[in-house]
Amino acid sequence: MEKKSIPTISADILIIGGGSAGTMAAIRAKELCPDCKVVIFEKADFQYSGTIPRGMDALNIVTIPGINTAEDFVISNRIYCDGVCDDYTSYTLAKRSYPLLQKLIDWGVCFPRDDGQFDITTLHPRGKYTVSMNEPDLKQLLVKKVLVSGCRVENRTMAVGLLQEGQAVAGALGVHVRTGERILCEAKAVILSAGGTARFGLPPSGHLYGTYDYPGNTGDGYLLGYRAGAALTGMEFTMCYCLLKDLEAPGMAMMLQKKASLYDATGRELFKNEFYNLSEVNRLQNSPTGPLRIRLSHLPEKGIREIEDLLFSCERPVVKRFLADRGINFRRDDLELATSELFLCGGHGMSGLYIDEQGATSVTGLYAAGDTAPAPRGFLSGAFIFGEIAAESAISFIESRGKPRPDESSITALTGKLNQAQHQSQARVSIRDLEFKVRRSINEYLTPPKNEYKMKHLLERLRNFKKDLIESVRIATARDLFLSLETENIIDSAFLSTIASLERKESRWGFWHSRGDYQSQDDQNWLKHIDLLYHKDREFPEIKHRQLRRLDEIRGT
Amino acid sequence: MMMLSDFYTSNNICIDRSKCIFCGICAERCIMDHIRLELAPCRRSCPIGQNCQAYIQQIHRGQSDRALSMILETNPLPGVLGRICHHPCQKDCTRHSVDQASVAIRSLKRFVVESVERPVPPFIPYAHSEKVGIVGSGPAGLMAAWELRRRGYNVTVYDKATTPGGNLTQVIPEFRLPTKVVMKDIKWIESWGVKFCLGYHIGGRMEFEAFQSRHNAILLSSGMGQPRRLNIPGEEAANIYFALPFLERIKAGERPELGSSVIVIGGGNVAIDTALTAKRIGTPSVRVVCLERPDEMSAFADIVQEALEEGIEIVYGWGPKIFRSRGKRALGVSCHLCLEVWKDQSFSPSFDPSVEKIFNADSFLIAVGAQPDWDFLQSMGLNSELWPRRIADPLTLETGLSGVFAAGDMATGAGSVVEAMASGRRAAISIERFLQGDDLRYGRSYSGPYITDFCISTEKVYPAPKQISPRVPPVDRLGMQEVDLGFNAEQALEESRRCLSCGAPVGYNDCCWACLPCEVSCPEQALNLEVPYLLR
Repeated sequence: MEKKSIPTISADILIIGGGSAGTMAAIRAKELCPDCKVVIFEKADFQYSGTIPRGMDALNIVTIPGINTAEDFVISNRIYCDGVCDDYTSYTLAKRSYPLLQKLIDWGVCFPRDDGQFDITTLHPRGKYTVSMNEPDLKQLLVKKVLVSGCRVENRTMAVGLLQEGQAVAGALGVHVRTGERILCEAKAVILSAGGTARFGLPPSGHLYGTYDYPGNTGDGYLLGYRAGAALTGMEFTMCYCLLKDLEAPGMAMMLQKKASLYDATGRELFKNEFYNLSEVNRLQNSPTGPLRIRLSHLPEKGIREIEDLLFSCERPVVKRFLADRGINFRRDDLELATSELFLCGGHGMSGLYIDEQGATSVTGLYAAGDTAPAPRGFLSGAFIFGEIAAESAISFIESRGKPRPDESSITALTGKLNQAQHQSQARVSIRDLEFKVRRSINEYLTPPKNEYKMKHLLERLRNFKKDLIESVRIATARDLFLSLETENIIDSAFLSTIASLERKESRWGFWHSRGDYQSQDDQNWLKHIDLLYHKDREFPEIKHRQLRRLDEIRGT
Repeated sequence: MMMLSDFYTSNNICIDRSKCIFCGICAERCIMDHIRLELAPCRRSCPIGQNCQAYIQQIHRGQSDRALSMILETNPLPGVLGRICHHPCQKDCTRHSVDQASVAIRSLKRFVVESVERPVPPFIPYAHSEKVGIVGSGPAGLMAAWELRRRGYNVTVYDKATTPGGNLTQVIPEFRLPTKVVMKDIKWIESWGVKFCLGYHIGGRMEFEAFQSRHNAILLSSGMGQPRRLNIPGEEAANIYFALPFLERIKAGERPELGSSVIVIGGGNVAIDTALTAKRIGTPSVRVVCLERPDEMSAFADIVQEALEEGIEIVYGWGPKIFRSRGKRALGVSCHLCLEVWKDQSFSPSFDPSVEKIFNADSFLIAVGAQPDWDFLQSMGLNSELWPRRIADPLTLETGLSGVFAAGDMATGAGSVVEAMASGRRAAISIERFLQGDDLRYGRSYSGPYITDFCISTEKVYPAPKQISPRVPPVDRLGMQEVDLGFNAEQALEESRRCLSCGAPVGYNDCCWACLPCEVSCPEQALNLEVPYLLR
């Protein structure tokens, strides 16, 4: 009996990250090619992993016939992105958004209707695209479809790095997060759908996992693609949201859409009848007239009930418990808001791997979707739609690809990295402490308004943290190893975000990339994308400026 | 045992211990890997992972039917194990440290099996076209068959005997394990759709190759059918018998003539059961001669006690050297004093040849172990010289032949019934992976999200005497009837109350996002999540 050195499985398509985009990609791949072997690497447990463990309260982008067209959306998204967006991906997203809604309805997802009409609210500057959804079991619905279609899910398996075959990708090396065991997946195509970097800055509460978005998102998708040569874009789009203080649960936008009011500390009502600018809210929150609070006590009982039902059933049902613990009743008390930690996201923001309208990155055989790859600002709709598109493109690509044969060198490089970590069991710093310090530093030095001094200082800090990771951090258990891999991705996300932020010498996107040293928006020089490309053995990425792609036939501001 | 994290971690997972069934689903579903299951010592030590804590608590809650279902989740031979399991769970039971007697876990299992009707298995379709052949219908083969069948495979169990069960039905005495009990378990396995082909003998290599070609994967689990010999002069005498064939003949209804005195050589369960059998068929004088001192015997203490009760004499500390014969009959066995049996945890007896004693008897029964049929193994193409260590890979149970796996005693050496079953499950998982073209090794040594190193407080626990199940008094023990009559309902309830319910889920890794899948996925609604303190 020959013992293989690393357990190896093969796949036609390997999907890394089994969340919103990943599940849709898997389902779509099997729809198109039932006999194809689809494997998902999921570092948590597939049943509830990702951003939607208990559902979501809306599908943010749907162009409902009779209400708005795909062209309307392209125009709106240009405004929403302050001009820096890709019309092609925006248009593709919008065009497929209504068919997506219909598909989800066919699958049994609940979109509440009143007299046959969807409940559509406003999130965007031009038009109404947000359709209310009430489906706490959304993830489980998708999971069932994935499993029934015959996909194979490797739970508790984190991808450490992508395998290369020349210039193309050929699979990935995974590690079991509880045991440290390695597994190789040789694949003809890879789809990265591992989220953004939600666990980025440190939440004000100090709880490492008290983040707004799914704390399992540590930039794995970004760094896997980047290290394999795919361009990262928009990394300077560091964002934060103004949310329920301490718990950081979402729902503020939903409440305001349902006629709740927003006040600052002086009692002045904000955004009355205006478009609720998510970025501007942060500026107001942190201004001398902050903090802000939401009031619902003026609403009729029916309205409050409706808000409570939606808030307590979907997305973060723990809100009900939190409010009860604090003795907060909407009928009587205001809701305190606070600015969340900084995060990077392709769905809410525009940070991530560059993809074209076919979901392809700049590397052969590598596709991406969801928060890992900005559509941009595509939210859940973008994740689902580009998940499908990535699968379609991958299926088409693998038709002409033979059996993948990963380069030995790429396997040894990755296993070497893991093996080196195994020698740190006597080191003295806990990985938790390192993570805390990294994330505190991100808050301290990258929170807007940014300036060159702070950002250069952060680069230095991050360099030291990387050194600490290799020299001082104790890696005694498989869990330590897992956390160290996540922390490395957080550090690298911060490094790249800082470099992109330094490069964009202007202020744009309101609070989110405001700079103290370049306070105005400079369309003449900076109406473009900033891409970062990895070069082996070089500490700094290559920086490229990429022209915007406009659909000239769509006119309008 | 105390770790730094014990001081800095707040546990925000609240468990209602009157509802929890310690299944660990919350720990599996938690997406941040925050939850771990503190595993009760009993469950930890069970080779087949029986959730003893759960079924004992279910008895305590008056839910014996649920207790049976809990047992059946991981154990298709509950009747068998409820009688003869060597109960490593009881050895580790925390109760022992309170009043020097563990919870009678095995007896509680027997109680549940006898008092609750077994549920009819669900219909499992043949999800896969592959056929699996299992050679040997003992505990390892039966377990593997059940595991594969419920995963949708087409399984046939073959045995050269006309009754299934291997040693369970062919050898173990009726008073130890009634055939009726075994057959009930086997019938239940059969009702899952496992096929049996009995009286089937594979004669040699060619037959085996034909057999291989009719199956996509094969499991060899034919046990150790050949007795081990002492290999001392005079062993061929006509009145010297070997325990295993002797017990087989008794099971088949024969009553061999042993004369008025018998000496059984050996110190294990088989030796004691052989001695008891000899006594029960009417042999006036039965003595056991063994190498071991009383505390060294591998035979279970309660079985030894039974033997002593029935007037069997045990002579400790002698090693047989030669049989003194006249003609074809042995008259006595000459032994040397045994100084030491175990050296560095391996069987390595040493003797004082200057001290000799002869034990005389009409018949002799040798019970010093068993070994597989070497010829059979070699004819399969397996290398039996390295047995047992190398016949199968310890992790995957693959043999050197493609698609051929081995489990139970023939793969691992002498083990208990439950250990054979654990081996059977291991082989079944390997076979499934083999048939699906998956790697056989990945994740195999991972048992689950468990913590085994935690404090169990016995502070507020009051001593409560162990329940003693009624037993037939020695004078009334006739023929092959069982001695232990099992708990009644009241005793079972009292005994279940002695369980400390040591394990429970706990928020361990300080990474809670308060997303609630743990609560939602709990089948008993026994878990309540508190908002993590830093956020609350």
